Amino acid sequence: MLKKKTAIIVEESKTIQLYYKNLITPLGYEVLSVSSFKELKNLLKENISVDLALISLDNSDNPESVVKFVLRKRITIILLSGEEDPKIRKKLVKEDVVDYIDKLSVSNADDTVKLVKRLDINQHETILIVDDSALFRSLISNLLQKHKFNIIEAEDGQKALDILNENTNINLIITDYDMPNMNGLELIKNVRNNYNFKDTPMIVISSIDAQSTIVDCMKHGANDYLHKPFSNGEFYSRLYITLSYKENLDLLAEQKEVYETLFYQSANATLLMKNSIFTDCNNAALKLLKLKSKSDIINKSPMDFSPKFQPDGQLSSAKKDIIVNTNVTRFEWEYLTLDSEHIMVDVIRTKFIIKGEEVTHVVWHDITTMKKLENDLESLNISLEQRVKKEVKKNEEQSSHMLQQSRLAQMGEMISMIAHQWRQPLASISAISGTLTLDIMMDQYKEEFFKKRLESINELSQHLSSTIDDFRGFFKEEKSIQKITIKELINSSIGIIGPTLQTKNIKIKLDVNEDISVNTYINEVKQVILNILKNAEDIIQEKEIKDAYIYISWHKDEEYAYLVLEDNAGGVPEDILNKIFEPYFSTKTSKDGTGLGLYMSKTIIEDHCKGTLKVKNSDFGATFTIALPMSNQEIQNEQ
Amino acid sequence: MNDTVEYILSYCNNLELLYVEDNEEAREFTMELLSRFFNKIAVCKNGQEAVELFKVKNISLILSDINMPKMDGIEMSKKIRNLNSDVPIVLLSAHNEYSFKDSANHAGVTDYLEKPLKLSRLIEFLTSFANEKIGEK
Repeated sequence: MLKKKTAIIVEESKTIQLYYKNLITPLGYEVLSVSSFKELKNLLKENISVDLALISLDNSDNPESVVKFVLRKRITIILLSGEEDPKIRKKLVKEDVVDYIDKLSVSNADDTVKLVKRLDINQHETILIVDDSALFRSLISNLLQKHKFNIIEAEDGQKALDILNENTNINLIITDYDMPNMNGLELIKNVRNNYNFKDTPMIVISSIDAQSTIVDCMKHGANDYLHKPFSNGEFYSRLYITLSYKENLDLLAEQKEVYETLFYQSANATLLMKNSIFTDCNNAALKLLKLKSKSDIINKSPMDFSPKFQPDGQLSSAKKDIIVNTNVTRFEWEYLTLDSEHIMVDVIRTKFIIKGEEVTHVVWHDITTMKKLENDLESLNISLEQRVKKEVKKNEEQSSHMLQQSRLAQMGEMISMIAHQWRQPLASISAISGTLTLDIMMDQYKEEFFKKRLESINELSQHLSSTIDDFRGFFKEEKSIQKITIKELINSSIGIIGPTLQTKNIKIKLDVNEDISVNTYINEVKQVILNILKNAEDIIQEKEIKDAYIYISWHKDEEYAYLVLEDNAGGVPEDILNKIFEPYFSTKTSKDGTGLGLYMSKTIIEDHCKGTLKVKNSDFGATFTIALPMSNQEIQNEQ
Repeated sequence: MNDTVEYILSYCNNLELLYVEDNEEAREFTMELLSRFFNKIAVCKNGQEAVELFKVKNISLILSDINMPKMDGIEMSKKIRNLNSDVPIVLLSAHNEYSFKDSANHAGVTDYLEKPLKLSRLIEFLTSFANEKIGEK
């Protein structure tokens, strides 16, 4: 970090001290304030290095002594002028102080900052003084040194040129006109011929009577002139005007370079248009259209690079008219490159007026890849959506297919149960009919016996009929839940499958407990009970279990009624215990195992009836537990 | 027709029939029909009982259901065939139960009657049974 410079403020008023301290501190100074000459002397005794002193004329005791004291320390002085006697100020300004700031002026803050900044800049500026008079050189040199400039002196034009050849960092040349060897005009001509100094500001100093020489000098590149003799004020004014002119010129050149770089080197294709005709463009624009030079595009219209139709199907020319007429400032446009490749650009149009002419500044942002990705993504989304829909439909179809299959299987089982239940009554009816026919044939008709047997036939028919009713309930679509007790559920199920189980020597053991009421889909639960009983029957048969039984019991807790169905067929192998509720999983070797029975049972109990269906192995066999909610709030809400 | 029945009766009247059926109702009504042809009918409700009865009685014809608890008709046929190679064993079966026929033939079953039993078919069968009996004499 640069060493901080030090400034001293000599001023009685603490307020003013603080005011100037706040102005100068941000310029990189450490600011010390003193209120009196005595304090100042004490401070400077400490042998500190001070770069700048601001000395108040009206608010410090004996300002003249202060100034003289400070000057001896070779410290740059700026006077703060106020309500003092103007004579004192005039006198002191003639001393080697830099300048004075009018404390009472409204612009005093600006003036102070400007002056201090200027002095800082001057320390890095070098001025070449060219004059054959050593006295005059020293006079100017003194003035410049007061303002902290660096000085190089030359006795004539030729010496000046020699110096310039060695020092390219000369910021200003002050030259006399009348000099031996090479006069001021020749020097100016030579300097201007040197590329390095063609813009270096030059001030010519001449005697008042040489009017024509001044004109010549100005014509050949002098920036300003001074007539001898001149006042200090005049000198500084001319000097700073010339310097700031050059500085502004440099700033302008720099800005021009910045803007040109921005325009020509920008990665965004940038173009200028007048009346819908391209007038300029940068390299990025050429690159985008794959053009070789600006001449390929200048004086052409955007239409020359557009396909007939835009991607939305509109005619390019029609769309362009809308854009121009309604002053659209941002839009997407498809262009054709030189090799007829379609590119998509995001266009930003800005209109402005240059010298009375409307110019359109256009930035093209290539979005071809982005558009393509966007389109790809869109079609990907669409196909994804379609795929999801397809899968969902497939799933729905599958599950409806599964339901269908399971219903068919169940219907098949039901029919075989009906067949079994009907076989005996039908055999009875058939036997009675045979007996009666035979009696008639053999003339053995006895009215009483006939009446009795016809009555039997009637009873048997009723039995057949009620069997049908029992079964038919199962295939009815069940729309609402109904109240039923667990015992009724079991009895009704046993009524259907019981005879089959009996034939197969399978006993049903009922553990009769206090009955429990539930509200549920009765037939669906009966289907589940039947399915579990039928499975038990199948496995008992398959394993040829002796003394086979199915043990049925029930109990409840606060929420659920539990119906427990347990067989003694040895249970489900542990490795498949968690698979038996999966669809299409079947252990049955016969072809009637669809693998859907338990899957549908679980679906019915858990999804529809809001209960649970679980299996575990007991000591003797498989134990299925159906839990049905007693408070059927959830189910009712669904209705 | 009457003559046919008379003919059957003249030969079957004194023979003893073994009828096996687990369902009580069907057994009762079928017995009633069979009693029109046979004076003596031994009746029981499963194969096991039938085998025991066969041992102690002079049975000329066996009519039996197939599906029965404890011992079914086929198992029973095997056992009885071991005891006696001649006695006709007839199984009463439903149309859809033909799948058992192989094992039934193997077990020595003589014939099948469709269930429910049709009178005409019963008479037809008993006539041929009587013919055979006459042939034996």
